[in-house]
Amino acid sequence: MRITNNLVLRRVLRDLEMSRRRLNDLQVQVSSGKRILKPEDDPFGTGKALGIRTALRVNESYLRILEASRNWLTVTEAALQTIGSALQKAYVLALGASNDSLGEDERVLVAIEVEELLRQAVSAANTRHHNRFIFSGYQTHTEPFELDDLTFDVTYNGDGGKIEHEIEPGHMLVVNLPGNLEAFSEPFNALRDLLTDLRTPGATGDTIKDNITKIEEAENALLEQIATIGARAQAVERIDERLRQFDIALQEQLSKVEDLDMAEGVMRMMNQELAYQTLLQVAATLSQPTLIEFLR
Amino acid sequence: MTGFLGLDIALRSLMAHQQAMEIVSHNIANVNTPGYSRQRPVFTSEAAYYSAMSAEAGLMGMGVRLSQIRRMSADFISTQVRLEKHSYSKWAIIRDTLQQIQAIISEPSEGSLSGVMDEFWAAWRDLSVDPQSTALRANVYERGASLASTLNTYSEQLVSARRSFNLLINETVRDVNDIVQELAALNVQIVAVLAVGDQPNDLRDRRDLLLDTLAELVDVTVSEEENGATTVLLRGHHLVMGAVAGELATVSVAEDPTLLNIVFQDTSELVRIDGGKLAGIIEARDSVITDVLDDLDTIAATLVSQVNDVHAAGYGLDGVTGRDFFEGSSAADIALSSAVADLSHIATASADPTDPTVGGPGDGSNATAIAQIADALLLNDGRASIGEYYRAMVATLGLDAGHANQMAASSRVLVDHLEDRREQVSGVSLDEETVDLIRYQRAYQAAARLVSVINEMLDDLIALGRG
Repeated sequence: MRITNNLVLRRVLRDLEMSRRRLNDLQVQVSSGKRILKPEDDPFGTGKALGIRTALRVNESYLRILEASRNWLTVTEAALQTIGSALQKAYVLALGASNDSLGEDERVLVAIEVEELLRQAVSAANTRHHNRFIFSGYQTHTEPFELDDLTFDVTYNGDGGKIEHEIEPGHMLVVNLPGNLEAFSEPFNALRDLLTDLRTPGATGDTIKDNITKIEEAENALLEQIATIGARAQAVERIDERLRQFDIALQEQLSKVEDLDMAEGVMRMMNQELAYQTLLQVAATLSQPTLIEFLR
Repeated sequence: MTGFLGLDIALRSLMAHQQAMEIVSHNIANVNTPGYSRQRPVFTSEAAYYSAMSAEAGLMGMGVRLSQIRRMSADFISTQVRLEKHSYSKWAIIRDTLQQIQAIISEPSEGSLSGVMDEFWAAWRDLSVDPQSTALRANVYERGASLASTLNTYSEQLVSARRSFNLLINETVRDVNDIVQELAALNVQIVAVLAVGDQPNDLRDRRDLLLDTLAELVDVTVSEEENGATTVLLRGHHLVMGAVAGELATVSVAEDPTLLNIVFQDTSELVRIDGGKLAGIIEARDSVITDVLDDLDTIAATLVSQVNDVHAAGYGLDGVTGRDFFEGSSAADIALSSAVADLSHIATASADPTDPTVGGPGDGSNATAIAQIADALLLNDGRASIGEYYRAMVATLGLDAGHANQMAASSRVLVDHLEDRREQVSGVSLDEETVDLIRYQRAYQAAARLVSVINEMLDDLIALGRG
């Protein structure tokens, strides 16, 4: 096989180029910490990595929704508790007033307190969260409960709309309580009736005792809804926890697919650096002397 | 033996070996010339003659002459080299185009289409829990605008890449035409030289170099005629025949006047090119880039139609229904509809929120419905969501790029190997030339010595005749 000068040079050049290119690729990998820099580096890995990144963003999105749900439910519960405590105080007052020995003047005084409790309850039912009335159903700009100052009737001006949050794919959670539930009408009516009866001249202890029963029933209706809200809040926490775990798992998966094993990467790069330098030295010796130099 | 004949023979040797040394210098001088084939002197004994004086001995040799300067070329390897260059040049263009596309799409990374799309759907979901929030409405608007403009940008860059191939086509066609013109001229010269019985070695080298370069541009077929001229054919059409050159030209593509096609200049017939740079350009432009553009257009069209369908079914805060969110039908022109420039028009409710008997402003269910489009199996006959379709497109891009890399690399290896083999035959080895130089120099010295010896003998002979 004939060896010509050009043959040797061509081969050396090719080898140098290839070695340098490999070195460059490894350097870029190490400096970026990623094994996938373009889809061609690992087509299926790229597809997977994109899928995982999307899943991470989706997860984050649902965690935000859960936060919003949590807030709704918290505010709702607080309002219901306020109504409940108004009822309880009214209960105590009613008990006291159910004694026939109480005089009219004293009953009127109790009535004033009960009226105050009714106002507090209505106020709680008109709670706003981020500028929206939480008990109006979809009519979030409309104040749900209106108290008539003469009759102490409470009218509901909202609708029955259920506000649903998608807290995980395909899972809708109703976060609100529309104000047309008995959990509202019963407490308001019970308080109104107690109030009215207390102010009625000639009311007997028995009448008041009827009111007490109404109050008890109202409390039950309220408790039912408080329990419902509680259950929803628990669901939110459960899913929140699950999504957080999922997030961690996804991050791990993504790292496995995308990230370079630094130890391995650095080692390969250093090996290639060494190989390249050796090649350079070899190339240097190839500017060999020719026969001409040995002839005198 | 007469001294004069000996002188004659010595003289011939001097001349032959001097010529040989000139050939050696030529080789050494051209050691680095691209496409140079080394030349070797071919020595032949001069025809012997019958001399009455040496009748008994027989025919007398007449010395040496340089009968031929042989060009050491390996034409059959050249044919193989050119064939492989057709393949390499084509794949190199395709490979480079796929690199460019990967850079445009730039996945995986934040800020690319994948991330922008995810943020868009998330914005709708955020809005669904507080449909009256101006900030969240603005967010949906921004994300929508981002999505549209990302698609616009990708489309623009791909279309621009396609158009930039025009420049390359024009350049390459010009190169082809220059080469075929020169080949035709060389044919004339080479045929003329051969006709008088000489060897047009350096002209042949030039021609071979041109044919190598031509092979990188188009997949022509080359053959040599009996008179030494080269015929170059492309799809059976003559690009070079004897002294005549047939050029290529460009015309605008009917369907898209911004693109160019290649035709034969004399017949205006479209040329199908299967190898070389031009083949790579055409395939990169018409297949590789177009496939990606088509996929992006599909994604854009699906986004527009699906989002608009759901959006139009919903109600804005002003109680109006039937509004579009997007406008446009392709990646190039997808944009936000002017209907939603007023943020309160973004249709978050499923029923008229201004009519308390059917709905209210707290209803964000239509926004949820739009967010759910992300998971709907809308493409590939109901097997893929928009996101999955896109991810598959990116993965396929990676596979195609890897494949092109492979094809180009293995073609390159073959080209290099074949060129090495050709180099082995026709390349100059300085050591070899040096040895030859010594050889011819020694022979020259011997011939010179011969002259002086014969000269002495002639002196003696003449001296005999003196008294």
